[in-house]
Order: sequence, then C-alpha cells, then structure tokens
Amino acid sequence: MSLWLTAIVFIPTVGALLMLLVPSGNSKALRTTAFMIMLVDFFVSLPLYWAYDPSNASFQFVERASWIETFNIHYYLGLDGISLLLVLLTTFLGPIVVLGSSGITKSLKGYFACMLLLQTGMLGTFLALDLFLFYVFWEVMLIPMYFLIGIWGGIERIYAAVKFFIYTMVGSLLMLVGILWIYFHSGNTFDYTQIMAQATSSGGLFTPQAQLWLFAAFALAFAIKVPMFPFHTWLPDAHVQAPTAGSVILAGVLLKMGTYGFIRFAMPMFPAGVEFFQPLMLTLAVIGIIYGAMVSIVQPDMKKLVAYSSVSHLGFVMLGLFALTPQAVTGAVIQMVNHGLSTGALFLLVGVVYDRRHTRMIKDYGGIAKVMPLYAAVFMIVMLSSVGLPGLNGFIGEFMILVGTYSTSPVAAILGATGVILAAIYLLWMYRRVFFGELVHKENEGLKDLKPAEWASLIPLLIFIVWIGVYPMTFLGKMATSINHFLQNFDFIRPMAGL
Amino acid sequence: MSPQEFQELIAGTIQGLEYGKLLPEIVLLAVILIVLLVDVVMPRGKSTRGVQLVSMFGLIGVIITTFLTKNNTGGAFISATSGLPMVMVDNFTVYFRIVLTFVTFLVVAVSENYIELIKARIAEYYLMLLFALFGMLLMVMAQDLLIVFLGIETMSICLYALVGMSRHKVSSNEGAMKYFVLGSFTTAFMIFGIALVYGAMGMVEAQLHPITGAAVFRPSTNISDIMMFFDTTPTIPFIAWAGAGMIMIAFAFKAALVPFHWWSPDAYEGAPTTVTAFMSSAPKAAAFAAFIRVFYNGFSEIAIDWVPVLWWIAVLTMTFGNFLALRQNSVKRMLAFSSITHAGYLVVAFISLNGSGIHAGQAGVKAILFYVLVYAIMNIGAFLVAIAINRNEDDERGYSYDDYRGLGFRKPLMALAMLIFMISLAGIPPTAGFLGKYYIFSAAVNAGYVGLAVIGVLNSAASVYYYLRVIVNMYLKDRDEETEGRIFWSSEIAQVVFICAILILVIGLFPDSLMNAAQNAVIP
Repeated sequence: MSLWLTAIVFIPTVGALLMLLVPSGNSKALRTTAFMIMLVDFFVSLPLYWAYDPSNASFQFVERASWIETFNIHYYLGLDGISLLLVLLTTFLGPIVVLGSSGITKSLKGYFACMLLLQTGMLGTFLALDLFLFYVFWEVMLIPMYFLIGIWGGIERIYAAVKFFIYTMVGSLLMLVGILWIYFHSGNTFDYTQIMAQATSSGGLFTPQAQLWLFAAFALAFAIKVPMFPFHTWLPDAHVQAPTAGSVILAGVLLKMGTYGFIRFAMPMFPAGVEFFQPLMLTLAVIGIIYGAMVSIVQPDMKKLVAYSSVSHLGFVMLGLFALTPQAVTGAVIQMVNHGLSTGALFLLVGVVYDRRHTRMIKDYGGIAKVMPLYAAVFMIVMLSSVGLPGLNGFIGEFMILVGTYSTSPVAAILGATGVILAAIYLLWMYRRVFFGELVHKENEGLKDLKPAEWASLIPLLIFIVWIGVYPMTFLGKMATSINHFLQNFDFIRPMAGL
Repeated sequence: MSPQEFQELIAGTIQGLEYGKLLPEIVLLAVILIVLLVDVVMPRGKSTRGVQLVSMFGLIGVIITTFLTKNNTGGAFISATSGLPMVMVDNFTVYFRIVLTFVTFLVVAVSENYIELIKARIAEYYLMLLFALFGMLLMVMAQDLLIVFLGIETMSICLYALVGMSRHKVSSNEGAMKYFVLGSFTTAFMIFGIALVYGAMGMVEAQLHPITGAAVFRPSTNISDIMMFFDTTPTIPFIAWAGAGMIMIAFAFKAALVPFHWWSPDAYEGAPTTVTAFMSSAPKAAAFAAFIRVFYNGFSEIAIDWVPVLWWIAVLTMTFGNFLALRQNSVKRMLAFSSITHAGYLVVAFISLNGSGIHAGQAGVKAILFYVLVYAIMNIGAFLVAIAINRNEDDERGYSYDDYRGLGFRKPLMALAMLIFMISLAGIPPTAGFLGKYYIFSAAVNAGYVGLAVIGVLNSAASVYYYLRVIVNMYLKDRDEETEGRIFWSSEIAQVVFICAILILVIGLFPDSLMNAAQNAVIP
C-alpha cells in the first residue's frame, strides 16, 4: 500500500505547521514558503495522471487503515477517473492562488495557514471513500474557508462568512443523518465500495422509498454547495466579500465538491431517488442556467457578475449529470474542470484591476484597453472561454452537455442552450463597457499592465483553457471508463419521452 | 432470635458494608475533614493556597484509589435480611467516579485567584465543591431510591450554597434563593414519587408468583426489587406510573430540562462563573447517571410508556435552550443556556435506550457516557476562557461578546483554545464534540428515532450561530481599544485551558480508547 494519496492530502497540513516557524514579519518568506508547499503538492500529484490506468473502472492507489474501530470507520482513500481530474485541478490551482494573493497584507501567516488547511480539506473530500471520512473532510474545509472570507474579505465579510457557514452546516448535518441511516442498514459499514456492492446487487440495499429520503438528504447538502437554484443565495455574498484568492478557490474547487458529491455519492447510491427526482433536478438546473445568466446581465459589479455566472455555469453541470447520457455526464465532468479554470481566471483578472483601483464597479472603468492592452487580451481569451467559443474549453463542456441532454429531454436542452446566448450577452457587454470606449475616468490613465506575478498565475490557466478546447481527449480519455461505470447504475431509467 | 442468629446477623451486617469497594468515597470524606481542619488551624490569610492544595491532592487521591480498586466490583451496604446492596460499584460507577472527580479537579485547580476576586469564603467554597462531589458519587452508584435521594440532596444543598457564594452580589443571592425554593419543591416530588412506588408495591403484595406460588417481592425502595415488581406484576397499579413520572420530573429539574429549567437562568447567571462551569457539567452528568440507574434498571418495564413525554422534553429542551442562548449578549449566559441544549441531546440518547435497534439501549448509554465527559471538558474550557476575559465581575457588561474583539490577534493561543471549544460545542469535526454528537444521533437513528435525530441536527445547526458569534468577535472583528479590558490569564487557568483544548482534539482524532471505556462501563 503506497502512501501517495495521503502525501497529497497532508502535504498542505504539514506545510501549514511549517508556516508557523516562519517569522510573521517576513512577508516575502511567508509567500515563498506557501508557494513552494503548494508547488510541491502539485508536483507530487502530477504523476498520478500517468500512473492512473484509464481502462480500470475500480478505485486505484487505494489506501485503507482502521481509524475508529468502535464504529468500523476507516481511513480509506482512492482515486478514479472522475476524482483524478478534480484532484489535479485542486493542486494545480494551489500555487496559482498563492500568487493571486499579492493584495493581502493582514496577518499573512494565518492567511496561508488557512489556505493550506483548506487545500487538505478539499483534496480529502475528493479522495475519501469512507462516508464518515468524507463527512469529516467536508466539514473540516468549512472553517478555513470561513476565516478566509471573514478575516480577509470585504466590508460585508462577516455577514457573508456566517451565511456561508450556516447554509453549508444545515445541509451537511441532514446528510449526516442520512449517512448514519446507511450505516445501520448496510451491516454497519461506512465503506463506499461495500455499500455500492450491496446497492447494486439484486434486491438492492435500500427500498425505493428509503432511497427517496436518502437522496433528498444528500442532495440538499450537495445542492447547497453547488449551488443550485434556489439554494444559491449564499454564493454571491461569499464571492463578492471573499478576497480574490478565496473567490478563485471557491469557484475553482469548492463548488465542485457539490457536483462531485452528486456524481460520487448521491446519484450512484440511490438510483431510485435519481429516477424520481430527475425531472425536478433538470428543471432546477435549467432555471439556474437562465436565472443566473439574467441576474448577471444587470450586475453593476464585475465580481458579482462573475459570481452569478457561476450559478449559470454550474446549472450546466447539473443538467449534464442528471441527463444521464454518456456525452452529457462526460461534458459535465469536463465542465467542472472548465469552470474551475475559466471562472478562476476571471476572478484573478477582476482582482488585478481591483488591486490597482479598489473598485469593481463596471462604471468606474471604460476604455482601459488603451492603457492595459495585454490585460485586455488575456481577459478577452478567458471571457470567450467562459462564453463557450469553439476552440476554447468552455465550448467542449457545454456542447457535450447540450448534445447529451437533447436525447434525454429536448426541452431542457433547448432552454439550456439559451444560457449560452445569455452568457455571450452579459460577458461581452461587460467587456465592452470596461475595455472599450473613451477613457472617462482620469484615475484609470495611470493603470499599469500585468505584472510578472500576475502573468505567472494566468499563463498556466490560459494554457489549459486552450488545451482543453483544442484537444480535450487528453482529459476525456482518463475518465471514460469511470463514467461508463457510473452510468451502469441507471440502465433501468428510460429516456423521458415527451419532454 | 437465638444468640447465634443474632450474632450472625450482626456479623453479616458488618461484612455487608463492603468498605473496601467504597475506598474512593472514604478518601474523599477524609479530605473533606482535612480541609476543615486546615481552615481552622491555619491563619485566615494563609489558608487559601493550603486549602486548595489539600483539595487538589485529595481529588488526585480519589482518582488513584478509584484505579486501584477498579476490579473490586460488586454491591456494597448489603442488607443482611434481603441480601440486596444499597449501592453498586461496577464499571459504570468507576467511569463516573473518574469523570466527576476529574471535572471537580479542574474546577478546584483554577479557583484560587477567582475566589479571592469574588470575595467568597475560601474554605467553604472548596468544602461545598467536595461535598457536592460526594453527593454525586452517591447518585451514580445508588441501587436504592433512598440513596438516590440522599445523593441528590447532598449535591443540591451544596449547589444552593455555591450559587450564593458571591455574597456581595444581589444576583448571586437571588439565584441561590430561587434555586433553593424551586429545588426544595422538587425534593417533594422526588419523595412523593418514591412513596407512591413503594405504596404501589404494597398494594399488590398479596399477589403470588404464578408458577412457584411464592411471594415474589416485598415493598421496597431497592431498584432490583422495583424491577422485579414491574416484571412480574400483570396489572401495574396506576400510582406506580405516577410515582415513576414524579421521579422523572425530579431528575428533569436537576438536569435543567425544559419545562423544568426555570431556575437555571438566574442560578447560572448569579453563580460565580467557576460554579456555573461546574454546575452545567458535573451535576447534569450525575443526574443522567442516576436517571439511567433508576429508569434503565428499575423502571425498565414502564420506561417505554414515558417515551412520548421524554420525546417532547428532548425536543423542547434542545429548541428552547437554543432560543434562549441565541438571544444572549453575554458569553457566560450563552454558555449556560446552551448547556440546556446539550442536556437535550443527552435526553435524545436517553430515549434511544428504549429503541428497537440492535443493542439500542447499550448504544444510548454509551453515547451518554461519552458525551458527558466530552461536554464537561469543552464546557469547562470555554467557561475558563470566559473567566479570563471578563472585565470585571461586578460590571453589568461583564462577559459581553465585545470583550472578545480582536482576541485572535491579541492573545493568539487563548483565542485558538476558545476556537477549539466553540467548534467542538458546535459539533464540527475534527473535535470530540462532533464525535459526541455523532454518537448520540447514531444511537437515535439505530433505535429508530430518525425524526428526533433530524430535529437534533437542525438544533445543532442553529447552535452554530451563537458559537460562531464568539469566533466572529475573536477573529473577524477588528480590535476595539475602548472596550478592551484586562485579561485575567493566570497560569493556572492557562494550564487547564490548554489541557482541555488538547484533550478535545486528541479525543476528536483518536476516540477509540475513550469509546472502549464507555463500552466497558455500560451496565450489563
């Protein structure tokens, strides 16, 4: 048994302890240490890509050890094609968010310690295969995120942080009851593979009635995290108040924990629940796509605009997951990664001008393409990727989701497609107002173009934005077997005729 | 009675005392006497430290003798006529001896400066704490309703006095008075309940065992007798039910369960804060231990009939405690009221004793055993930080949330400890508080009370709000030089706080040994 996954999960924790040794006054040393730890973690995780065997549907690099014997709880980690990409996305964004934290000056040591602990929580969530362990990581990640928003956030940060915390808490505690129920009805085990083996055996583990309740309990926790309409209200607050790096993590990784929860736990464990709730989930996904986009159009604040666009983009992911066709689910998983890259990059870019001008209002800018031409170019590429321009990553995900959804529910696919058009409206309109036209504000005349640190954080993102857009098979190839395996749970669900 | 019979009876009575099993209690009584002596012998000013040291070493002695005698289990004070013990020393007793003595030790260890601050009488303070401990030890080992009663009264009378220890504060006197009056009222309930059960047994004495034809029980207050009575009597007289209900009310009062909690706001508020910390953890644990003894053993046949009542008591206690805690602007009151909520969680576990799942009863008892210890540690830790931060005992605005502003940057370690206590109380991993709640709700789900578990977790989520408020003030709000007060961060408080914080994390990550201890302590 190798300790590869354990190393990936806990290098940031060890790093957070190391941070305590660095003198608090030396901000350069603090930044460098944090960056190096994140980079080490990334390079430790990177070889997973080649070591992972894409033809094997079972979990790989499995680690299993007894943790709490009284309750048969195990420390149980494993990786499949779906979590592989999300783990790599998380470790990839790690160094980038450290670079994106140049605007932070207040108690840097605590800031980076929180960020590193958060990294552990997120990686653990993607790798845990014991329901109890999963729950622990899921909750552990709350506290550092709460501090990131609450200490280093904007003016309304306390309200946003508390709202974020309580929303997540309510959802996840009901999931805890669901987890307990599973434990007592599966022969006292939290082991995901054992539970799945029982769930897929003839007769199944739970009655259809019980599955509905369990699905509802899990889905609530995950839907709040995604966030799905109507549980999305914490997201704009959290995003707007969080510091830039916090927003990048939030959009890039944290929201994926919700969609990951669906694809890993809620959907495969309770197929009867999926069957029952599929129409509702598709409807909410479509509402989320359109509603998020419409609200984005009218936002005067760039960061809020991007935040609401997340609601819309995550709606696509949910649409793809619940369409339950091979293309749609594949599209949904790659769209999770895409959203992490594009929206993460958008938040970084908004942060760039915010650090210079301390305003995020669209009306405070205008014509800044003249003073920041390179910034404008990068922004253009990232924005177009978010819109879904063919040749960039966003297109691949949305296209596959919509193609896949059409065979399940043409209505949902058609309505969903309007989201792409609306995205073009709100992003292009925002772009025009910020970058083109006359330089109306004098303060903007002296704006400096991108600094080296900003380039360093943006270039890796740009590479992958183009890479996925041009040759997605690098990434799709790794997850095909796992997604096929996932879909076998739902063979009994027929396409929804008439929708 | 022939001389020989007489002699045997006397000898049997003496042998039945089984003093060896009660060594820890004997040590405790000896310590109490020494404390009295030290106070008399040493001059007033100098006795402070002496009394505290004697108490601390005495409590360590109690713990050591508990460990030494832990295999010497069985009944004690065995009646020579019926052969039944008055008190039972089993693993359950041993577990609670350790927990309760440890909690008392923590409170004694931090009291020295604080007691001078509130100008209380020193020897009396320690004496009352130790006597209260003695009463609680009687409660947890009682095999007879009269011993339960004796234990509760010994404990309660000490607590009345402890609440009123801040003699110069009106609120302290008021709290003590209310607690005393209402507590005496409850005593009447307890006595009346015992009398009714005893009377019920007398009413049906004539009934004989259906097979052997022998009289199977006699009127008695012994828990084993009562169990036998309920087991074998086909139609249980109504007054027995009523008696059980009254005894239940008395317990509910002692554990401050809604709607019998009305004494607690004033008592908790008025009492010196060390006493509040003590009262909200140890006596509740003892009350639940005795409750388990009486209901899980004695009234096990009819306990199921009281489940609907207990169900509502659990729901009301959790919810109402939360509402009260949410509205507070003082951290001391918030902690005190939230202890009502935590007692509600314990009732959830208690109800699970009657569930339908596999070993449901055992799971419930284990959950209670685990939770009372964890709760005591995190609760006392949190109260101690509150003591350290309180600006002035006589200040009306004492214990305000504002005092915590910027603490995370002023006193990072202290704030970190408080952070651990708060997330543990809120039930967030990786802390012991999370596992405790997990234990309780898993017992409830296992026993089939899923609805109760859902109400419980929702309350737990609501409680996050007021625990977060402390964290918000410590870390999220900026320092406010004006409201900033002195910090009373003495080394004795710091040591105990850090011990508590580390214990919370260690138990949270590696709970197996404590869980095994709880497992072994379950009454077979």
